[in-house]
Amino acid sequence: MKGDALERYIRQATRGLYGEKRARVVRELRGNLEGRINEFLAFGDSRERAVERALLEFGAAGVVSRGMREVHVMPILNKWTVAAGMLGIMAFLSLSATASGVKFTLDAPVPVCEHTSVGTLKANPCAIRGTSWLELDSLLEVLKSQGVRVEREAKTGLATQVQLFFPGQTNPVVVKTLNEESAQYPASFELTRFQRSDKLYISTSQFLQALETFPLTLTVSSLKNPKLNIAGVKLELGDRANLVNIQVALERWVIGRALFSPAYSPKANSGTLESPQAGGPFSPFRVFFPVSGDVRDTQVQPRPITLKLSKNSEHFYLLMTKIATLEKGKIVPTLGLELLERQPNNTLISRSYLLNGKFVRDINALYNDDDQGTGLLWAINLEKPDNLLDTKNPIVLRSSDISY
Amino acid sequence: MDSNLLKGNLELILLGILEEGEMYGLEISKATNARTDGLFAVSVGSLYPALHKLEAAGFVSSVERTPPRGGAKVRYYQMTKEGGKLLEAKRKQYLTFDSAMKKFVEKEAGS
Repeated sequence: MKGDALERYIRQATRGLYGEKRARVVRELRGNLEGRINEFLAFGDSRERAVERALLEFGAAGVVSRGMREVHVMPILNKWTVAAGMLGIMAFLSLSATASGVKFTLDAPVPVCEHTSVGTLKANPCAIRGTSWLELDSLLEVLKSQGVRVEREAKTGLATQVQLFFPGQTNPVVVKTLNEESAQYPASFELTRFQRSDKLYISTSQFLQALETFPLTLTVSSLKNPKLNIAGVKLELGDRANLVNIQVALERWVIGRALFSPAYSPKANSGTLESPQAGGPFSPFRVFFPVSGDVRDTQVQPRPITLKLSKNSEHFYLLMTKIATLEKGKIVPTLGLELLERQPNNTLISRSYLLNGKFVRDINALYNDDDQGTGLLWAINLEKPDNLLDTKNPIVLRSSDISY
Repeated sequence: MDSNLLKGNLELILLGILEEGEMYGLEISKATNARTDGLFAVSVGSLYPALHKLEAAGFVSSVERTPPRGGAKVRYYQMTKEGGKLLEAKRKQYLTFDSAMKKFVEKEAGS
């Protein structure tokens, strides 16, 4: 029955949508499809033929459903990526941003990585596009002006350690310009800190990682030119002319946490993340992204995989996950980022994103007909941690390789 | 026509069409195909996500009502004031890009 074909098409085209949003799209599709079918009927087609032609014109149901999910199910991501183009254009029409006081630079001390050839950090450091560095003195001044007590250890050269005592907190946040990661990857030192015109710069990523050692809540207004609220202390990064994007910093932070966690033990094809520690190997640090004007927050919570969600918990979860990939016919455990979306019944559905080991920023790229939108943002081969950013031998990932 | 070229300019195309007045999906698809002599064969299905995206961002608004032909209700879209600004910005952006690209195309053609 071709009538069934129409209903089946509408069902497929609205897959993944729920509630009123789904009802709205169903009505819209049906109204337009019926209109077109009636036009074909008026030209003398049989009902069966008319339905067939109308559906052909409308295109693949999968394309519609993917596009609709992207708009209605992943609105936060849309604001970060898809709509970024539109909103970016609108930005120059809006009012100017408030001056932050924190000096920064986007001018990397090392070459910027090519999109498809990031290279190995150890041998050939390169900065991922979008990385920013904060000038340490100005950062400390802004913090001091808001009641943060700063104790700076005077060390030689670039090795500096700063203790930040936030108001009401007894334990300090420790910002090091050299950390364990940079010790393991000497050639990447330049990425975490460098000196220019007698000023010391630390990467925004480094600063965020330092905050993570402390059980406080950090709220971030947006990924671009964010306003940070660290236990009541406010920081603004970026300005109109120089866009600071902390997406890379946050991704690096999450990946770094997972990579250097000894408790993390991925198993190929097990379908779950396993950790001997209660609550997972990560500290209970929570980062919220209340995207302006949107009541649904996105929460970065790297662990645990088994999330017990309350009715009012956050809508999206950015989660470290283990997947198994096939490399030359061999199953290789890899680590990646996934976006999980909370469903009405409080289960989580994966909205992972990334293609073939490439650092994919444009989520639209996942929704073409060739790829079914499966993958992870960034694959890391855990068996070769030295090749953390080595995409010369990309890990190829297909949807058929993964089960959740 | 390379579908990526089309995809990259879909917002410009849709807003350019809606500048003429409110329309529903099927009408927009027909108008697009007609205006480009069929060069841009935009499927209705691919229009909806783009329209909803524009609406979510506040660049178009919509209302559901029965079309003059009768039958089931459809959703009419119209461009908002912000959408008008975006259209102008997109036009400028496109013309700048087009102008730069022509230099390559003309050089190639002339060589």
